Amino acid sequence: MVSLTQRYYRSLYEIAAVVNSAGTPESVLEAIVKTVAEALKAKGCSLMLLTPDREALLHTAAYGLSDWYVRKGPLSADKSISQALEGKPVAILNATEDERVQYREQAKQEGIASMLSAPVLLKRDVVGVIRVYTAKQHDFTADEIYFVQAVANLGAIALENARKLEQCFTEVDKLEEERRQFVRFLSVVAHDLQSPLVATQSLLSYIVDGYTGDITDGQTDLMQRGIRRIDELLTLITDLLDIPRIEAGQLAREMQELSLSTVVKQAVAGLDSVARQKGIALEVELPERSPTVYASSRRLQQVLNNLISNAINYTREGTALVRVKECDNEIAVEVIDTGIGVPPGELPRLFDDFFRGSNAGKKGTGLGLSISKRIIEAHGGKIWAESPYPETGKGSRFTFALPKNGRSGRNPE
Amino acid sequence: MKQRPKILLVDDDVDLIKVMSGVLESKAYEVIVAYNGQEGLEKARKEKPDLVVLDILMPVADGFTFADQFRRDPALAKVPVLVLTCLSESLGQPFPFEVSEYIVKPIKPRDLVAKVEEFLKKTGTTG
Repeated sequence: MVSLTQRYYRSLYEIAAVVNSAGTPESVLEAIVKTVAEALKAKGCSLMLLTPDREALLHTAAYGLSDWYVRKGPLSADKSISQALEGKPVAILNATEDERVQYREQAKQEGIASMLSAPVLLKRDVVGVIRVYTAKQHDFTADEIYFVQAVANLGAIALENARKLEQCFTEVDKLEEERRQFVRFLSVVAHDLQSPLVATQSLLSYIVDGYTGDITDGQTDLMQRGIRRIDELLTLITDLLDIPRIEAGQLAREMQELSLSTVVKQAVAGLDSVARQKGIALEVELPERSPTVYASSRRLQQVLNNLISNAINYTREGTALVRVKECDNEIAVEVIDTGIGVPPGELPRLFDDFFRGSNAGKKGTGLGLSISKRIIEAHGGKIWAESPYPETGKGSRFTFALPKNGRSGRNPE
Repeated sequence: MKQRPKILLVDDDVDLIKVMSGVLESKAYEVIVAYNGQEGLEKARKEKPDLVVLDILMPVADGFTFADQFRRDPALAKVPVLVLTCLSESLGQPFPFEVSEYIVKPIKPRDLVAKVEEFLKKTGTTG
């Protein structure tokens, strides 16, 4: 035989679970009325909350009562309700006859004998009324009254939390929509910035290629400088506009299962001639079986191009090695060079936007590594640098690691 | 046996049209130009080009609409379309129709010529 106290504890535990859960406001309300009715072995329980302007009391949840009874009408003339709203619980032994009850006839038809009306408090304000209904006449004890109020008050907190959570979700949805619109706006901006540059570059190329007649070497040189500057600007625009796109999570669209070794081989092949021109050996170490990753081929190539061309640019002579390693939970790609390295003080800031190291030349925007970091993180991975490369004591090693096989855990848009 | 191959250029940028026409005319192609999709469709029906070079991102009757209507027209459907596009746009947005090929802007004049020649060779139309 379960004692009253045990029942109370069990109900409080259940309500606490509801408070802790991220349930909807509706589920919290239903849990409250059900738990109270069951704990007291009552016929039913209803919860009514005041509207924000405190003018009306709305039936918010009910258990064990017919729809008809729940919708009986406004309770403006019910004295037990008005007393409860003032903060005083009211126990009524005979609901069908007590004058403090407004709907005595309806109570009789519904089979209600006794009624307890108690205030629901949230931070010391009365926010509503909880009512417990019994089928047989019942003298509500002080313990029972106390219990009902304790549960109702806990429930009010749970409800408040649930509502705030809902508000947060709505806000988040709104912000995400605003972000999507911003990214769309940026696409238009990108196009408008790039078009005149593309046209200008074409006009210059047209002259340089001799279509307007012979030009001197001097003129060719100047125009090619212009063409290069435009190239740099086009790259900067693409990079700048890429960042919001990556941050808005739009990479998910480009992702698929792919063979990492293939991507690495493509990137290396693309930079092979550049390395050769500088007299640097570009080597690759791949595992026997190509690991599979869920990623965007184009974006991984972007990261690899960034890391490998950095390795080549910052190495006067020697090797740039790209190594793919399969570990327990992740796949690591290392780019190791025998170059001039990174001063230790600058290592933590390497991946910052626009960071140009003291070793860096004049070229470049300082966005390459920060974009690579964003791309890798959008894939659920990590990227980091070590200088000097621990095994040789010179050069640098840049590593990025991606989760194995599965999806990165980000929600696709 | 065709005379000079006829190429229709559709792009809203007047400077790019100027450069592309100059480049292609110097290689003895006959060039027709249009500055928007609507004009492009009209000229395509009237002039029956051997190849269309199309900028996919134009405001008025934009490139996609042009290409879609182009493909639906039985008289034009067989003409190869070389699509010009900016790198950032071509990805993530699949072409809603089958294009023969695309070129990424900015294009160097000699690359344009090379691509055009490659296309015309594929379809058996040579000057």
